[in-house]
Amino acid sequence: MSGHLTTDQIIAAYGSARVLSGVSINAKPGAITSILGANGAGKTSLIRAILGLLPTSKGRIELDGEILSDLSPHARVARGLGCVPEGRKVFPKMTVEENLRVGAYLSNDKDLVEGRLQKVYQTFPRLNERKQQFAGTMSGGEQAMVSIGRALMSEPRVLLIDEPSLGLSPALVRESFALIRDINRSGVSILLVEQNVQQTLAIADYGYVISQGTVVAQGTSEELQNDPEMKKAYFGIR
Amino acid sequence: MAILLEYLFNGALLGVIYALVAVGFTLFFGVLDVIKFSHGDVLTLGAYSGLAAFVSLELLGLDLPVVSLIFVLVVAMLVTGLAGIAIGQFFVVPMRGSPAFNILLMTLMIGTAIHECIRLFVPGGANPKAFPTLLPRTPIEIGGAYIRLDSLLLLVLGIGVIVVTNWMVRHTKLGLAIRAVAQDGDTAQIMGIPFRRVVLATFALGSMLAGVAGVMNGLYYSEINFNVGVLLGVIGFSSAVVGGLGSIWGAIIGGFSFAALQTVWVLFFPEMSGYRDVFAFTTIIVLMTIWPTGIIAERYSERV
Ligand SMILES: Nc1ncnc2c1ncn2[C@@H]1O[C@H](COP(=O)(O)OP(=O)(O)O)[C@@H](O)[C@H]1O
Ligand SMILES: [Mg+2]
Repeated sequence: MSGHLTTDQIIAAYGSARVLSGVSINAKPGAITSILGANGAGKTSLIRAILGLLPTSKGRIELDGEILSDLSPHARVARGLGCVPEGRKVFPKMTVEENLRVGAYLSNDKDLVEGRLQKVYQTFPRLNERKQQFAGTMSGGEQAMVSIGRALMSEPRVLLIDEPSLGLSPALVRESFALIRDINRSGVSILLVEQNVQQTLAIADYGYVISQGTVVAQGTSEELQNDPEMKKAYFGIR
Repeated sequence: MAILLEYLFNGALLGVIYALVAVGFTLFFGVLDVIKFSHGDVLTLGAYSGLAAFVSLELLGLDLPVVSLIFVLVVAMLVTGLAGIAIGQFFVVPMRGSPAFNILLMTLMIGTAIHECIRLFVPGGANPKAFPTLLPRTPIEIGGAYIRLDSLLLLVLGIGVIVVTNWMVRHTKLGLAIRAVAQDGDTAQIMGIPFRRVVLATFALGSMLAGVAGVMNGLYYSEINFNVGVLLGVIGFSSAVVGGLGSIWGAIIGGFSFAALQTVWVLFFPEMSGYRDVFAFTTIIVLMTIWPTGIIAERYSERV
């Protein structure tokens, strides 16, 4: 099975402010791997570093044995990374369908793109009804669907998801977790950043807790449930 | 009535030329949030390369009106497109992330270097050059007004180029990528869009429009000079700003509005036609203080 993403001791900074000080994670093929941690811990920075949007000064990022560290973001996506970014980041002045088509930018096979489009519309009938609407005028929940659907359009091997439930109602949060599990069951490895600890641990196979740019705890969901480091890191108790 | 029609027509032709320049500014600003002040001088470069292409055809003894025009246009677009890519690749993209002022100043200097080189290296470059007549000047009567056939063809050409450009941005994959980069560069990249390549393609596209505008301007006035791009650059930039800087339609409307202001002035004060730019710029300054974000505010317009 493919979709094995690892980072090895990666270091990254915004200017002189270091945000990642040697982070190593191992997102196993076919698994849901979670990244937990308080606000400002460096979770989004880790995702951006994996994608190549935040340059790493040291360390190695690998996907299925291939080193990504020196590739530009679009080349990493071409290797099989997909992303649902923090804040969803739909293209506001494009229609729903255009948003989805941008997601399939790297595919030049028209029939293939049409097929994927139909699949996304099956998963999200709501988007099918609204395909000509500007994404920027949609509700938060609908934008989340656009963002997830857009990421699926490239049929990634590893999907990076950054706080999908941010700002959604409890019912939609439950739905989004169920959806992430479904995507995972269809064979996509998932790296999930979340603030919703309980629901995340419920679906994740393995997790890492990050605090101030370093991994302070890791383990299976059960192990993490009882890890004192986890509570400390999460609630900022020192 | 007839005279009005003639004014309207000439205004429309100027409007198309300005719109071509303004769309370039809007495209550059869309993808990279930069104002590229060398744009007007790239237009000049286009006009002179078109002229050079014509001269070489003449030297070869070829004189086929339509073919010449196409050749002149193609050469102008090729040269300006390459100039746009070079300026982007070597100057603007590497400067991304530095203060906007630096990029503005740098492109201003590049532009000045371009037109100074034209002045110094083109034989007799300091003087105006006659631009060839490549289209039949047959007068056509429309509703009592006489309109030159070449002007009519130029208008059709300009509108055609604008329509094709707009279609490209709306309906092709490159256009989709340009819009994605314009709306959110980082997110565009994580969709697999090669950022630098799309930015450079946009620079090429916008600069090619300036090449067309340069040739059109030369054909319309039958002469060019090394300084022609300076005023056209400022007019194009003003038109883009009036249109909200960031929307293609805004830039087009901006270009036509500027020409309309000039035309209105000449219509009412024909003996003071030299002041048409003063009038147009003054009006725009007033409009800008009333609507600081442009006549078509960005929130109503689709960004690029
Ligand atoms: N663009 C940026 N420039 C400078 N500092 C940043 C930037 N983005 C994030 N940071 C800082 O990096 C740290 C980690 O942020 P982030 O990765 O967004 O954390 P998280 O996603 O875990 O909330 C924070 O201290 C934040 O202030
Ligand atoms: Mg975050």
